[in-house]
Amino acid sequence: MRIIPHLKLFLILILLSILIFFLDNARFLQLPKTALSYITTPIQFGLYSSGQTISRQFYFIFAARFAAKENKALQEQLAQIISENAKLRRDLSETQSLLEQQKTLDPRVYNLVAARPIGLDRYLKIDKGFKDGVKESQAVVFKDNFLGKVIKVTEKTSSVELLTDPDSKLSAFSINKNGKAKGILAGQFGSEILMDKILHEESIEKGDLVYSEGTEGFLPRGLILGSVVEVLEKETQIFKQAKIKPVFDIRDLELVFLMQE
Amino acid sequence: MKTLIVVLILLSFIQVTLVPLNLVLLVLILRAYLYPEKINLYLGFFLGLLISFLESQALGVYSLAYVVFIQSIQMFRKAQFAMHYFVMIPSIVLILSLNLIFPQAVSGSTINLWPDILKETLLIIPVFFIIKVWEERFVVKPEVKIRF
Repeated sequence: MRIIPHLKLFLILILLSILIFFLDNARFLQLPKTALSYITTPIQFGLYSSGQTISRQFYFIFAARFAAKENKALQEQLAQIISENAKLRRDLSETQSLLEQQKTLDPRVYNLVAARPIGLDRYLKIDKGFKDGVKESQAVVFKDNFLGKVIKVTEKTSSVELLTDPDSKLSAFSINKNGKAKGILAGQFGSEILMDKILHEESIEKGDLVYSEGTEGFLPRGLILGSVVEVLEKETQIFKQAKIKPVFDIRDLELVFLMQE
Repeated sequence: MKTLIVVLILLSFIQVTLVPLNLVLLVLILRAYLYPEKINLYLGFFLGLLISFLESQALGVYSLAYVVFIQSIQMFRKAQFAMHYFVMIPSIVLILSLNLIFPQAVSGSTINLWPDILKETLLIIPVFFIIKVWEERFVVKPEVKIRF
């Protein structure tokens, strides 16, 4: 048995390959190559274009998969952009509130600190505490409306007693074209405020604005406390009363202001 | 044999235009493994020339490589353990790798076997069985003699 089978043929083919290689490098085979290309080029072109046609039929499968991935990525991006947009809108709204507040209460007269409401049950919780210079009994306002008084302060948050709180009692007055009425504003359980101790001869009507007297010391005179929604008058009673409703709903406010001085 | 030649020519065109894998070499070395005949050397030589021409490479390069690979396989085939799958497959993968490395090394480009070598490796077993079934069922062997 031969160790190297077909040795003679193998060597002949090797030598032929080397010979053809050198002939090709010396450009002696250009003519037969050109002639053969007239046959092979159309076959190559036909196969290639058939392959392209077939792959185009299946392209939509890959395109659909890619589109699904792209859709998912875009949805994530959109969610992120919506979130950023919401944050920017909130920042813009707060900035506008700050500017409007400065128009109503002169910052040269009042030292106001902006705070965000972060919770509401019996008391309104805000995101400023004694680290921000908040103290008990400081007034909380929005534009020229009095909202409440700080009653509890922690390091980073504070609780605000609202006008509707039953512990809240303020001296107030209202003015209309017929005159002035004075009374005591007291919170009721729920969301009502009652202005009590109004003399019968003093004029008060539905729609009148109620203002702070400022006698308590922690808030200035002339801040709006609410508007009259109903006047309760009984001849058998010594005083008449008026139901008061705040001008702003606390839940609609994104920013409130603390009067520090 | 005529069918095999037609299929190999078709595979040459497919290899150059559509599927960039060494289909022709794979078929030739698997056939050399199964049936070590001198016809394999002729096939390797001429198809090597064809592929060199279709790929616009220097003529003679691929034919030289194919003839050497086929002869190596036919010599290796003589060993007793050569037909074991755990010997056959790595040896064929080695031949295919050398066929990928050699032109990249000559042209000076970075040698990169992945992922072509994996695709060609996965084709070894199916092509092996196709050739075996084809040769056993459809090709008339001159050695078969009918006894009366």
